[in-house]
Amino acid sequence: MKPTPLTLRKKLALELWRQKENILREEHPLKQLFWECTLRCDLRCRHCGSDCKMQPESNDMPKEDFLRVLDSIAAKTDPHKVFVIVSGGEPLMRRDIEECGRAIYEKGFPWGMVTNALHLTPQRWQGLLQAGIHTMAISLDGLAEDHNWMRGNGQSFQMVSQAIDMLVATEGFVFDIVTCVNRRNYPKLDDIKEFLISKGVKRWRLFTVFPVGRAAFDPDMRLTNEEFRGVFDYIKKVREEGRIRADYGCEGFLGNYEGEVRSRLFSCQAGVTVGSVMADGSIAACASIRADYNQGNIYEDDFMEVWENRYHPYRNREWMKKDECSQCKYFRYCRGNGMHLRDGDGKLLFCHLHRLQET
Amino acid sequence: MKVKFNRWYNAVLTALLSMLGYGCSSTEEPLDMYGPPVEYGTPHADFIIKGRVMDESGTPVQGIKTSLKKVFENNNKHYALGVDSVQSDVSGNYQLKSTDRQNQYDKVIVEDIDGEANGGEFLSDTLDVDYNKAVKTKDGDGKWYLGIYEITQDVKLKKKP
Repeated sequence: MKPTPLTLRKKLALELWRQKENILREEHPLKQLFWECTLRCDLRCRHCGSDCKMQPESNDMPKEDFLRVLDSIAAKTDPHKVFVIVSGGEPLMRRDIEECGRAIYEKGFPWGMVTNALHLTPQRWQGLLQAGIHTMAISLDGLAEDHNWMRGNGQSFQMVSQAIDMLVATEGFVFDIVTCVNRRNYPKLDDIKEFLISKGVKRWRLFTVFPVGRAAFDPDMRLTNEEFRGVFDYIKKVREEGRIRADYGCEGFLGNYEGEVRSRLFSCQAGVTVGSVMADGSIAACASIRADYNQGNIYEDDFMEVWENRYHPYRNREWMKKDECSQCKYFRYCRGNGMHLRDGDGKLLFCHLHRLQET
Repeated sequence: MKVKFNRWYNAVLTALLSMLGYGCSSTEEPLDMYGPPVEYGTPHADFIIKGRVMDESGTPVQGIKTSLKKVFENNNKHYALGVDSVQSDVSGNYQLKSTDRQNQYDKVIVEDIDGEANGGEFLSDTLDVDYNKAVKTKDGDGKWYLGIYEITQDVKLKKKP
C-alpha cells in the first residue's frame, strides 16, 4: 500500500472525520486523566521516554492531593465518564496504590493502570481487583531473551507471563499488551503474536519509538524506513487474520494506512479529551509531552478551571503549521502530529507520513 | 441549541463514515459524541434490576417508587447518586436500568409515595443490589462492552403500624 496520494474514499472519510474532530475540540470533554503517581521505577528500559529512577529526588504525590483534583472534576462533570489512568514511573512501586485505586473508585471514577508487571504478584492482583481496577496495559517487548534485554531485568518476562495468566483468568477483565517495536524484535513479531494468542490475549497494541528519552540515543531502537513501513503492513495483516486485535498506538497520521491499522482515524487527543496530573503537580495532557506545554499546577490552580480556560496550544494547532508542516497538504487531517512530538521550540521531532513516504 | 446541533451533525458524520466503509472502525470502539478513548477503554455493561413489590401476604402493590442509587463512601461520609427510578405497575413489577460496571454499594430504595392508596401505607425499605445474582442476557462485543445482565430482586413491604 502506498501512503500517498490518498484514495478518494480515504480522503472523503478524513474530511468527515475532520468535521467530527472540530466538534470535539470545541467541546473538549475531559475523558481520560493520567496520574503520574510516582517517578520511581524498578526497571531501566532501553526505550523509556521518561527519566525515572529507583530513588527519585522527589517523593510520590500524596494521594489526598490527587483526590482533591478528582473533587474538582466531579463538581463539573460526571465522574463515571472520566477514566483515570494511573501511570508512572511504575505504579506498583507505591505500596499504597491499592488504597489510591479504591479511593479513586469510591469517588465514582473508573480507573486503570499501566504497568511493567514486575511486582504484579497474585496477592497484589487481588488487592487491585478489590480496589475496583477496570483495565490494565502491560508492556511486553518480545519473548524471554528480547524482552529481558529491552527491560534490563532477567525476571521481567516471567513476571509478565504470569501476570497475563492472572488477567486472562479474571472473567470480564479487559486489558491489552503493549509492544514497543524495535530493530531487535521486528523480525520476531510473529513469535510474539503467537505467544499472546496461545495465552488467550485479545488485544495487542504496537508502537514505534519516538526520539525522546533514552531511545533518542540508541541505534537499536530506531527502525529503518523499510522496517517502519513493514510495521504497518504487519498490523494490517494481523487485523485481517482476525485472531487477535492489533492496533498501532495513537500517534501519527499515516496516509492510506489510516483506518487500516487502528480502529479510528488519527487525531491527537491531548488537551482535547485527555489531561494529566504529573508527579510534581503539573497540569498537562499525555504523560510524554514536554513540560514546556504544562498548563498549570494543582498546588496553585484549580484543575477544572485550567481545563476549561487554558490548553489553547492543544485545541488550536494552527501554530504547528510551520517548518515541514507549513506546505504539507495533509496538515488539515494531521494537525501537526502528536503533541508529544513537538520539542520545546515547537519543532516537529518526527513525521510518520514523511517516514512512510521515504520507502 | 448548539449542543443539540452538534450531536445531530456528529451522528450524520458517523453515518456517512459508515457508508464509506468505516463501519467496522466505528463499531470496534464506539464512536460516540466524543470519539473513542485514546489508549484505554472502559469496560462497561448494562444492568437491569427488576422484581416485584408485594405486601407481606404476597399480593402485588402498585405505585411504589423504586430508585436505584449508587452510594460512595469517602472520609466516613456517604454520598448517593441517583441513577434511575420507576413506580411499580399494576402487577407490582419494577424495572431499573444502569449502565456501569457493577458497584457493590448500589442500592434500591423502595418507598410508598401514595399514602393509603393501592393497598395501604407501607414502610420504606432498602435493598442491596446483589450482583452475584446477575444473569447475562445478551453478550457484549468482546471488547469494552460486556453485555446486558439482569438481576431479579423481589421485595415484601411491611405495612405502617
